[in-house]
Amino acid sequence: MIQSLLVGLIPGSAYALIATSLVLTYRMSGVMNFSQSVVGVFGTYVGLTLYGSGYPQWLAILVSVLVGAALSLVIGAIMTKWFDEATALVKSSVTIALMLALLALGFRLFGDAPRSIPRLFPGAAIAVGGVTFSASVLITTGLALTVGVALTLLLEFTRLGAMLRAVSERRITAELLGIPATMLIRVVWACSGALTALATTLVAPNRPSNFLTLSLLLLPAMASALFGLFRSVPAALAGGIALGMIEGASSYFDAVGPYRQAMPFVVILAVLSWSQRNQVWDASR
Amino acid sequence: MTASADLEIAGITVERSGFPIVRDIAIKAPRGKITVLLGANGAGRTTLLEGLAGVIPVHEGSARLGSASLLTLNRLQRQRKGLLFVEQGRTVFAGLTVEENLAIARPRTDDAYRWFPELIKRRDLLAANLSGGEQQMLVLARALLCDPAFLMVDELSLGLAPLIVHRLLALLVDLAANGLGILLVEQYANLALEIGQYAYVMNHGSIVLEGDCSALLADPASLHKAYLS
Amino acid sequence: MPRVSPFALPIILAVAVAAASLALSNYLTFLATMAVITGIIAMSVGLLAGQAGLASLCQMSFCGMGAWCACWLNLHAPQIPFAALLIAPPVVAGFCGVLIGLPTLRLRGINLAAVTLAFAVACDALFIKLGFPGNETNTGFARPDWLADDHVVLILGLCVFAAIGAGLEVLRRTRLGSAWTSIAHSERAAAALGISVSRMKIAAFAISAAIAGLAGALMAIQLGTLTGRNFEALSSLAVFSLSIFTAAHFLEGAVIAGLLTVLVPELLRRFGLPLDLAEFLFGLGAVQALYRGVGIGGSIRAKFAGFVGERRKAGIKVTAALPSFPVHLPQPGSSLVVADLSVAYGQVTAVDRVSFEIPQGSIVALIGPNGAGKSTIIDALSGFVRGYRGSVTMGGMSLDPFAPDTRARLGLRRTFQQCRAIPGLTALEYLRLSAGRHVTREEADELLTFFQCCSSYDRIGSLEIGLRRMVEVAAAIAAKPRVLLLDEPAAGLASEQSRVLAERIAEIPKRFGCSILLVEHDMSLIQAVCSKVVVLDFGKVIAAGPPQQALKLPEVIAAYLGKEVA
Repeated sequence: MIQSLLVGLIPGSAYALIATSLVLTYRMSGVMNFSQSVVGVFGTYVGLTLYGSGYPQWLAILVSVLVGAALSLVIGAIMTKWFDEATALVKSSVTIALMLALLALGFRLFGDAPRSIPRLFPGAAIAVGGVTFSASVLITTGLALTVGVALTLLLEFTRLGAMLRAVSERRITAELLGIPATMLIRVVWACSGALTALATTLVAPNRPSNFLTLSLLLLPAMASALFGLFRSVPAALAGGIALGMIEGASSYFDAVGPYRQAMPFVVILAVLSWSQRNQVWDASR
Repeated sequence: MTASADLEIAGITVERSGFPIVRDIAIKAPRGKITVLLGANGAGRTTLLEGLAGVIPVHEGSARLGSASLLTLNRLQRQRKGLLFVEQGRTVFAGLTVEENLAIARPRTDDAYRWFPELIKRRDLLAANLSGGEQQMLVLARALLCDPAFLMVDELSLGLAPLIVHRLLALLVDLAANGLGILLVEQYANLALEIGQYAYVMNHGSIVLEGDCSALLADPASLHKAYLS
Repeated sequence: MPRVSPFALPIILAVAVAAASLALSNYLTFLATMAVITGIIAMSVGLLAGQAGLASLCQMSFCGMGAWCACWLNLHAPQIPFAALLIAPPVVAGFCGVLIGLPTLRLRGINLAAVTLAFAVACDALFIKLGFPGNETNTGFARPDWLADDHVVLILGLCVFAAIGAGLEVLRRTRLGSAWTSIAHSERAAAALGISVSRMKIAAFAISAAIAGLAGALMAIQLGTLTGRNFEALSSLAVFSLSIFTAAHFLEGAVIAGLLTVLVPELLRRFGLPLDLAEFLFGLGAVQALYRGVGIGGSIRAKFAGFVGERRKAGIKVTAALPSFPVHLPQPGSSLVVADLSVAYGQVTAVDRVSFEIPQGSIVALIGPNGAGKSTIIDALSGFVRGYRGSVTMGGMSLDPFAPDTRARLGLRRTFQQCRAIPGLTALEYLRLSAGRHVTREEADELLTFFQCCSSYDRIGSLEIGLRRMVEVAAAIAAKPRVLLLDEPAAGLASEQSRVLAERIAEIPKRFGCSILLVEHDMSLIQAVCSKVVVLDFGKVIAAGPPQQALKLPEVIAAYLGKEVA
């Protein structure tokens, strides 16, 4: 049972990282970025192609992160330049459309056959008291926690973080005080893309991976981000890890196993019904 | 210390959703003086200030801050030239503490606590939990930390007790005495006229009356008429 | 503006295609049927998202439930009449729509979208696990004999499309449709018009899911064998995006949605281009269409209806003579008594033990400097502030336990400081929505002429702000209220318009029998119109009485001009 929980930590960390990216772009630009994970997968596959051509692993990972950042930057620029004033429905439709376009492009470039993705740290594992911690679990979870904690510390305790929070609250007022809001927003988008690419690269060896299934990491990531209503990084982090572990646990029980996919919905509905029970009106309208 | 500058605007027309709200405005607001902008609600004062600050686009006219032409610059660039705009409604960053609100304007925030010692004990409180008066102090201090060459203030006194309003206006008088130019939009006509040098009265988007503040104070009838026409 | 019968377009379309279809090859018939089904699904999304503004990303799941229901009935109850296969699936899917709508009532925007998407993923798992009835035995859906020919299936699909299209067009013109448009614009505005926001949302979910379920049944009939892949979450996303960018809440948009889904891959195939270009093009095309903002269906509808988007200028010809209305005595129960009203936001006291009375048939002004608490009082009286202390009594009846929409229906109406007239409605639709009854065109025109704002068929979005404010007041009056709360109705009006408004407001109690509480800054308007003035400062009442006296009191002058009281 504990082993299943641990195995669930890997996808859980990926959910957490992608959810964090979603929260960042939502807070900064008010956009629900459906194309978030596709961007990451693109990065991963470019890296994979490089690795398959013989380049060293570290270079491949670096390139995948950069590709993710670049793609995300472009999408962020499109959203803030053209669709700044648009309604939430329109913004969502745009990112969905971009996701579909990128999926098609990805299939074209990389094919949709499953790839065998080499494990990053093959074989390494530590055994403690009858439970095996594979290197993948340790590193992935460690990374998620590090990123989550570092981001939270950045946002809460540094001047840059205060600027970011100020921009996400009142963009115009921030600019009136000389804060370069547009540049900061672009940086956040780029970092989101980089983070997602990294998350996808780490989790890819553990899943049946073709372009599509990796892109569908978006769905549990969104459920994780919902834990904090797309506003809180720590909540997204906790939500992602929790969801991963719940999924892992539920695969342990045969009855629930096939319904693992439904877990995010059930959990999130329960959490939100409780936390939103006093919200009557849409605050802004 | 940024050198302070004069603000001069001419022929300014600002539209919202295609309709001119502010028509053909000309104002001279020199440095070292408090220029007051009065008028009933809906007269267009906020629209004018927002146009000058770059929050909304200006369609016609010219605006100069010192030797710099403002209308070709975006709002970030106008701020860099030294034009600071304190918006109406106490636009604090509610989720940030007092210190954070100040620090994003300038890392060294000591001056703010010199101007407003009341904020010292509120330093680590979230801005959302401050009283109205404290929030207005925070907003003013935040703008002043940016070392403005010219300051535009919109409705400083909204919903504040007279004592606090006097405190804030006294600070403005000091700043003007030290050379800063201020354009002050106020709903409390008498208070503003007492501390200002020159006043413009707007109604339905145009300037209907202007003159020295002392002259307007001595002639309440014409002021009344300008508001109510 | 030409009034087109809601049945015209769908029926013409259906007949035309049906006629043409008899000549189509089986392959093209198959494609056409797919287009029709996609169009129906697009219409269902259009209703939910395009019209009611609810971002729901699980439409294909409802579709799948309908399909599953149809397959199950077909397998386990083949003897039942065919009509049941077209009735049961929508009912089942509609029911599921209600089940999703209920817990998500408090979620909006991105949160609603995410939860419904999670639901879609959960349904995926369910469909994969359960499979579709008939899959194990490899029988699939068994069509009755008369449906054996694919052409007949297409015609059936077209009939359903036409029926639903006509039905939705009719619905759009009813109060339900207007209510959805108002909710999409502003829930508060809708509640102030007497609309129960929750019920409207549930209705939207239910009807939209039912339509999707019916489309699912058609899919089962057409395709025969179904799997979970037909209804996966990704397709829900795609159909959502498609519906928004073709503006599928308009019939034209739905037609285009269906055509696009089928034509683009076909054209690519004909030209020998790779098929995945279709999705790529869709993506880019959608972004481009959304950039222009209206959605394809919206542009078409706009041109078709002669909607030019000109704004009426503020220079309305002011007529001296008022149209004659019969004089009403003050309505019974049109008095308002406010006792010890207090509102606190956290530690800040916004309103402090305010008491005043609005006698029957009178106009009372509530004035005070900005920030004095006037809008908070209006919000509290109309029910938008929970947990206020004190009491509000209208005509002897306590309003305290009631929500805003109930208070509105009981006869307490208000306008908003920022003018929340619904831009997407025509003046007539807006008046009917507010009145809660069928207002005849003549009645509406009379009322609109009285306020000198516009004609019944003008779209509110095409009016400039001053006229919109007048329409907002007219709509409140159309509801025959007992008490009317006007929150700065003259803000942003040119002086001539203000004068007209003042005259009209003065006439309202005589003509329509209701009392008025007027929040205003314009002193000349107040002195001309009001019998009593209540002066507020820092949340407290500092003076009350006839305007001539109250406005000369030293406390009042000090409050406005800011001199400290000695």
